[in-house]
Amino acid sequence: MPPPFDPGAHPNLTDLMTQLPELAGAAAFREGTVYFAKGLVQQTTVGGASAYATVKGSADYRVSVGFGDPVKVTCTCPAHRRNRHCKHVVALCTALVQSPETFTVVEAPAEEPAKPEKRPRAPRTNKGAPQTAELRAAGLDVVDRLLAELADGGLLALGPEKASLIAQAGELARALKLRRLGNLIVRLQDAVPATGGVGLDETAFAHLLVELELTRRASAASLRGDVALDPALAEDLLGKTWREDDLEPITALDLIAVGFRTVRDREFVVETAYLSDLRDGSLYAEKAITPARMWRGRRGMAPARLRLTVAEAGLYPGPAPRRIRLKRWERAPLTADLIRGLVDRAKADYSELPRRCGERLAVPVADADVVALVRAERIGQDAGHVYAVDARGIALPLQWPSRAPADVPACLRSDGPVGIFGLVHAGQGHVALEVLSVIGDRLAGGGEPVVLFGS
Amino acid sequence: MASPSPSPLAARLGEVEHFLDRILASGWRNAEGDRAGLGGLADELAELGLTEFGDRLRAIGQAADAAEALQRIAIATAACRMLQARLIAALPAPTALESLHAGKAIAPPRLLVVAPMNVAGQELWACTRLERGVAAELVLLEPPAPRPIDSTAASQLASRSGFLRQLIGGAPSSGAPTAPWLRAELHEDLLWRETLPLGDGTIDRRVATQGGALLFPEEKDDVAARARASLHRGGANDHDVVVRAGGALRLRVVERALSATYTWLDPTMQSAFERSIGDDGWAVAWVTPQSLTPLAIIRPGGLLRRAQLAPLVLGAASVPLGD
Repeated sequence: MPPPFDPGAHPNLTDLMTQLPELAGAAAFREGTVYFAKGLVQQTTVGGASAYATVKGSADYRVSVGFGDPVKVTCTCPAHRRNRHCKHVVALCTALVQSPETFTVVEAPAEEPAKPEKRPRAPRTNKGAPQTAELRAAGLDVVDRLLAELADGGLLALGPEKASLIAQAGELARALKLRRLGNLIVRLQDAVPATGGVGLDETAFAHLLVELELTRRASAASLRGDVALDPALAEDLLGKTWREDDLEPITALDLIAVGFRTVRDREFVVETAYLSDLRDGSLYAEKAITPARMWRGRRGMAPARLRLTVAEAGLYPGPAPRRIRLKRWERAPLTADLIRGLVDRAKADYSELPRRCGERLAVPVADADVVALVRAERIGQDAGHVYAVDARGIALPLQWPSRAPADVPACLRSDGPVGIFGLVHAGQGHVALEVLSVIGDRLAGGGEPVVLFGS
Repeated sequence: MASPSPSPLAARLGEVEHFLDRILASGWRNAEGDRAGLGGLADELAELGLTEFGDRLRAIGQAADAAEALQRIAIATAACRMLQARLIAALPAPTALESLHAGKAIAPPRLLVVAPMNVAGQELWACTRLERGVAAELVLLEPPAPRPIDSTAASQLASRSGFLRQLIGGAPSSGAPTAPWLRAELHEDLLWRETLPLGDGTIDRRVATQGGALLFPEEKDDVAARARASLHRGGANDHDVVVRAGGALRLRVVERALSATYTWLDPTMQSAFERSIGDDGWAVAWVTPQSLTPLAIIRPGGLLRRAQLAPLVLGAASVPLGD
């Protein structure tokens, strides 16, 4: 029996889903998702890179989506002539991504042959687990060979002659859905100077090699089943795609965006909006992952400087701050009282931050970022460093992204306590805060309650 | 920005990590010298009580090949980082901590007063913040408290606070003072009070921090003079900018039948609009690609009359626009 359909293995389908709201238009997209939710997508089959279904509307329409190269959609409804991405196409695509297990998988395309893919694709198999295991072993062997050659020759070995081996290793890692390993290899690819890369200094090269080795070992152990992988690491390490059922429902949140961050690599742009609950100060992270070539700036995420009253959301498995998917929410006024409450509830004692950083560093293959919203009783400077100081006199060195003004941001010259949100970095015996925002209802020079830094 | 000084043990561990980095960067086959130094380093760490970590370093030197060395270096580096993590300590505030420098002075924002309105029962003034002469942002300003104003302004503005009460009390007489709308400016630091949703975007309610003295700029600095002049002679065109250098503050032809498609700061403004616009008319509006927000109705002038601004406030009378 063929394995269940895995939408994550088809980049063109992922791309199509990202573009679909725009291609279909808001109304058709909304209607299509409702059709799916009402169970009107029936007789679903998928084979190769093509899916077929009957979508019940005012009549029964036959719909197909080919997500090879090029992407092709068909539907027998009249609206399809005006807009190829009609609501029935939206319904089928939504079903493919959200309920792939309901599709009958056939060995060959169900009704019409799918066009052969032009681009070399990640080798995939639907002939069962043994072949997958062989593929994994082969893929990891290539990564091993690459790491051994780099370890032997050092930074000087990162020349153009390695480009093809690095590319091959990256392709295999992505095919095996070893997301973290693939991302690290992409960084290596980007660093080959002779192929237009940016190069690496000694420290960055060594750190990357260590990360690669640790990640390769953790990935291999997880694939072999030697260790039970913490679900918190599964998404990053093994590219696990969470389903709706995996999300922990959560209701009645009162959120405000306290920071934004954009990380780009060769393939994807990962945007994160950090959200804080105005009632209890809990932090969440909303993420949007967009193929780099389709990214047109931040959109569709929590707006800055507004309060969101959230009726329904889901929390992904993972470390704090938990990743959140907002499902039903409304925008609401943000008042000075709420901002004062947020600052009052921010972490007022910095002595806990080193412990949190230490805990995170104890998991070598986890993302090392710790985020925190701290309350600064005062802000001052000494010997060229700027510090936030808590009520007990503990200091937290502040750093801001390079895009922020080189001098002290005006908003820090505020009367009274302010909230400072950012990434806590550990090193050299203490922690420091990379500032992503400053929060307060009386910030100097502003007229804004949340001053954002960075991208 | 560099970091404050670490503790001696943390600094030593940092040096060990750097040593391991150097071996990797040199390459196993080129790092003979550093490999030989691993034993001494291991002994030194053992003396500091880090025997197990020292053994990990010693094992690196005994690796059979580069792959095994990488494996051992990676594990030793992870162990080194975990040891450093345990040494992370809270940092006491420096005793000589000084207040932050005043830094570069920031010019106060420049606002053009557009129209009065009632939002959630409170009288507010819609203003546009001017940035390099362009209408860059729509702001709701709490009307400044009454106080003596400079003599130039005094002749043009009798009272500012409670302007709506005056308007609702009856149409101004022919000798009534000219209103500040689309004419007066405020140059003062503002304090944020509230952010409200407005269509797809937001709008801030702010208050002037130093009392809110209105300025009536000279003609050469009067950014809305051209728009007012075209309104007085009845020669405005749809989409005309109000602020001469541009921006989202526009003169628009608006229709009652389309009022549901416009964005409203308050539901009472829509009611006032529908009552007083007729089938269609002119408005001063904040216009973005996503929305049109009417701020006041404009009744253009002509040969025998001056243009007037009708606030979108139920019961409020029109007031003449200044010259």
